[in-house]
Amino acid sequence: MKGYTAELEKSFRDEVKSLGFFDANCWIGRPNFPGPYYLHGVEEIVEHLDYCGIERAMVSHALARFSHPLVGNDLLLKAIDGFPRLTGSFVLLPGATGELGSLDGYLDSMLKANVRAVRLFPKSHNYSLGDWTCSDLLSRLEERLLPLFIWPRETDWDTLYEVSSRHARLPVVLEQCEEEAFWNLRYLVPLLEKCANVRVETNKGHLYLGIDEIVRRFGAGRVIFGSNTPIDDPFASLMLVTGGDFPEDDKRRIAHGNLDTLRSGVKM
Amino acid sequence: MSAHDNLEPFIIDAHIHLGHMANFFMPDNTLDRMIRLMDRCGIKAVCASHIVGLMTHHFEYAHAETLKAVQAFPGRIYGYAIYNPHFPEKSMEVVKDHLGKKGFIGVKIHPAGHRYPIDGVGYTPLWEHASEHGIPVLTHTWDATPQNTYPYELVPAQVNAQPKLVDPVAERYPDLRIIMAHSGGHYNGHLQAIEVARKRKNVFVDIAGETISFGLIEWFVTEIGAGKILFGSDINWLDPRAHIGRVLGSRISTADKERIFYKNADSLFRFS
Repeated sequence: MKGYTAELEKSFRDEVKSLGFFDANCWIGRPNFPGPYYLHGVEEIVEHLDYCGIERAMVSHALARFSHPLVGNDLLLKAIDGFPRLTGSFVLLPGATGELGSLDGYLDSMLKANVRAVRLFPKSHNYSLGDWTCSDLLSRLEERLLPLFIWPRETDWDTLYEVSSRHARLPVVLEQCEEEAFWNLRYLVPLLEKCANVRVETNKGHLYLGIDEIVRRFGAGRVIFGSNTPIDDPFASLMLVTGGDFPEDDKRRIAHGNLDTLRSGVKM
Repeated sequence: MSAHDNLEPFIIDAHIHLGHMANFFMPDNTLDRMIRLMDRCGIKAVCASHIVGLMTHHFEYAHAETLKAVQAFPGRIYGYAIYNPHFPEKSMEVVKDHLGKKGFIGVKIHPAGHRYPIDGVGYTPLWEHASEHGIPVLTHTWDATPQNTYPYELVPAQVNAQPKLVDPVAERYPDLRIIMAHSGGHYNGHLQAIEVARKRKNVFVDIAGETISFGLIEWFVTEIGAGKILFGSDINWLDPRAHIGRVLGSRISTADKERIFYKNADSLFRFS
């Protein structure tokens, strides 16, 4: 029996390079749970992106989730300064407790630092994503067309539907981090059907034929490449795109085009 | 995968499923579609167990469906018989019958799905038969308290499938070859799986499942050696392309990748 591992790897790597990947879901800082290896410094992350053939990445800081957004966001900006391939994604909080100061002021300074995407962690940070706590924040994000990246496990599907339909111009990107891979299609499909502003990111998107199914039903415009590096292995998401059952142009949109479009649509 | 569409399929996927899961939607869940996907991503053969046999007690139905699949695609789909420890006599009879049929290459057990511990006495008839006849057994393994989630979650049924429970079985039956599916599931299970696989020469692991942790393949190769790792994808729960990508991209030698992709399975199941 003969294998073709070297040939397969070469064609995979060539294809990754040709698609110009922009990773929407990268982290610096140490994750808060055990794993076999950690990359946590920005230099290590960049070296690994090179190894994978990923051109650019949008990065958040672990301490923005596990300590406080003010701490993590600040560390993030300092860490990625001087790395033009990296762009930031801030973790935010709702305005009621005033922890970020003036929301408008915080968002303005964030945009000045070229940070054009945000993440919310309602469960980890112990608040509701519902409008009764988050309407001030969500309305401001919607006004600025700032993409919101959120994990379904950090809220619930009913709230996701309410928020996405009430804030219909807010770009919402669902990420399946720390969750079974796309096993929620019975929630996800009707949500994508009813809310044109919702998209999905590819990390943990390895439900059998899952990405192909979403592209088939809703088009490649609803899928964004993300890997959750360095918690998850980026090569899993990479091959779901390079090996996808859809045309090259669709792969390019997923690899970088859709995220570039979202970021360039932000109202400064 | 356009650049390598013309390569002859060579990967052996030691861990896939047939049938439906009750709690999630499996798109395009047909044998024809699976074979097209296998062709597209370089998978020569898959070793399949039917979900109904693993998650319910309807093992007769599961075997009949597996047999149909094996007969529909000889040389591409191989079958696992499924042993159910709650019905030792009847189940063993069905297992023996199917192991005598062309295309059945081993036995699959699911201690979490069947809510029965790997080291429980209900499995004894299987261990004895498999050990005596050189039949590989693939067992689901997982960790009861996966720690790569936050906050941590307890998964009670998985208590039955902890890799550490494989150790006394492997010790008692040194000729029995056991594959620990999912390499133990999550981090704490991985630690147990490594400990058992290092200690017992008759214990192997596969990389199937939803866990795609960074550095996992390199870690297992370092700790237990590539010769004990089988490629598995968990089709039709999960997509084989993710796992092929992980192996291809890992920082291990091409020779080790070949062992994982097909050489170990070829030697364990004696396809050649």
